[in-house]
Amino acid sequence: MQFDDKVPIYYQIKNYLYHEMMTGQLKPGDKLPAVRQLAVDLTVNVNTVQRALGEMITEGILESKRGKGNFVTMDEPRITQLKEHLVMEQLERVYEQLHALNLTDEQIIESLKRFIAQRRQQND
Amino acid sequence: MTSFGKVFQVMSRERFRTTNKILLAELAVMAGTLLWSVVTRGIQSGEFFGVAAAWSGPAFLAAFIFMSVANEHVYTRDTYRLIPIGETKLYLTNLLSSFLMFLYFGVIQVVLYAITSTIDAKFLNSLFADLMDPRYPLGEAIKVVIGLGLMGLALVVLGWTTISLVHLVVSATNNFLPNVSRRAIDTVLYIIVIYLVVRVAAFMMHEFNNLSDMMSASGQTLFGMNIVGFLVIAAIEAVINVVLLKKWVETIPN
Amino acid sequence: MTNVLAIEQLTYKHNLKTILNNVDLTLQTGKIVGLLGENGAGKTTLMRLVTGSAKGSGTIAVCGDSVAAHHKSHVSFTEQLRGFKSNTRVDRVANFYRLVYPDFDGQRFEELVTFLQIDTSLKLGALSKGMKEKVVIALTLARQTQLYLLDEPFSGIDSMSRKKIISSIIKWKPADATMVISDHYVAEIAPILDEVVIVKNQTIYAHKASDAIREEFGIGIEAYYESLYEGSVSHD
Repeated sequence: MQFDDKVPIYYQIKNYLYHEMMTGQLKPGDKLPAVRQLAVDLTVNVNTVQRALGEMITEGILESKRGKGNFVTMDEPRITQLKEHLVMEQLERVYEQLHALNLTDEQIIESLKRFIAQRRQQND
Repeated sequence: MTSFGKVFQVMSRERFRTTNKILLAELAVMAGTLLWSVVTRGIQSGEFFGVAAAWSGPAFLAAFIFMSVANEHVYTRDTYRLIPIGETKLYLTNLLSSFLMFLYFGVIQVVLYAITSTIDAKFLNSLFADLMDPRYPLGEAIKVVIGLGLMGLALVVLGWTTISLVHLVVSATNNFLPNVSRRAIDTVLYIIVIYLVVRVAAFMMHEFNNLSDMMSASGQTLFGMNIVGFLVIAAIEAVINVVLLKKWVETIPN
Repeated sequence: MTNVLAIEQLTYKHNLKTILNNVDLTLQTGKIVGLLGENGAGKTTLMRLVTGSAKGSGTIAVCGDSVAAHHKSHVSFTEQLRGFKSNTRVDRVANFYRLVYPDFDGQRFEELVTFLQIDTSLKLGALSKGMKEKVVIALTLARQTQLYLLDEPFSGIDSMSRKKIISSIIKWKPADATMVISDHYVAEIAPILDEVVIVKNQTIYAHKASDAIREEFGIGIEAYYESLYEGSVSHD
């Protein structure tokens, strides 16, 4: 995995794991690889992985079972909530940038509809 | 901490191989010389022993030099200096390793003499009969040989401690001198240090002899005192070497 | 957390030139630390002072012990095998290490050899630069110590070997050991560094956590390092 050197690595590891969960690579109740294995897979420091996992445990996305490892939470509402949060985060970025181009809210919705329509045509 | 035995083992392995190479080379040269004789004029009586004795000298010198190089190598290479062992142990192990290899070399030489002298027994017996007074006891002769052997070994040890002393003093001094015309400075430094070491050693040997004179010792005791004298000087040099290693001598950087 | 290395007031002069002046540096256990600085800044010298291969003034305590002779059993340094003849085979070198270092783990060495794809029947003189460095890394990491000092393990090495070496560092560094990696080229190792120590002007110019640099300045480790050398980031 390629990292952006400007962004804290633990933050990028969290995003990577969120992504794995959203795309279903990691399902609720799945066990995560061991910390050192994750570090090797991602070519990052063990301490950094630990920090990322620690924060995700605090957030309730992961559950740590003593002696067994870390598991994705079975708490479905929590995962839905996370997904919602990630979607909103992405939308916020787009919204801010379009606003900066002096588009009104209506115009933004229109543009988005047109964009989606175009993409569909391209994909057909 | 690493045990003395293990450090001794790694130090001796390479030296053992070197010693064997020198021995092989010596045998090859001996064989060559004898072959030459066979081709040109046939082997004369006494020639086996003669050839062995003649080539033994240069071989001893080669063994001494190769062991010196191995000794000095240890002091400036991280490979050895990073071994978790104190400087005193490192130094003594190094010296002992070279000494025992040299001794092994010497034993093989004695075996060579024994073999070749058996071949030439007739010739040598008549030679000795001519040379020696029959009243000269065999015991005395053995004493002389052993005495000379001990003296040789003491001189070898003294030679090594002296070489190390010169090398380490120059190496330590180098850290404090400017980095210009390195070679010139090094050469001058080597000459000065060698001169000083030889002067001090000579002075001490002189004192030892005086001491023996004062005790109005016989020839044998005088000889023994000389051996002890060499060893005492070697011990003093060894102590200085260890201190130099501990405080100043750095390894060659990566 | 305890300190694996504590350096105080360390000064080193060589040939009448000051290389390091009044260096203070403390490293905690369990970290991977990047030691950055230009060629000749004193990175190697700093490591050599810690191992005792160079002699300076000041105190250096490794695992709380400030006796230089004791450091050797706590520190594993990427020594370049200069004490061996070039016709020495790699497995003979490994035997040497096995004998003289009580903490040398033969099993770990075998694993590293397999992982780094080292042919131990080769002679030292026949190794390419990258292969030689892999051998040095395998020997260094096969020891189980508290402090690992890797002196420019990536210089002049192809990127595949570099990746392998980085992976082996992550894989085999004991959790409670600290590893110092010196380099003058940061990009490739930046993601694995907990902290960076920058050597400049004969001293430790900066010592910061990597993610703190990214959070505080919003720039990468490499950009931070370069900016310090150009002097455009004011340093506290």
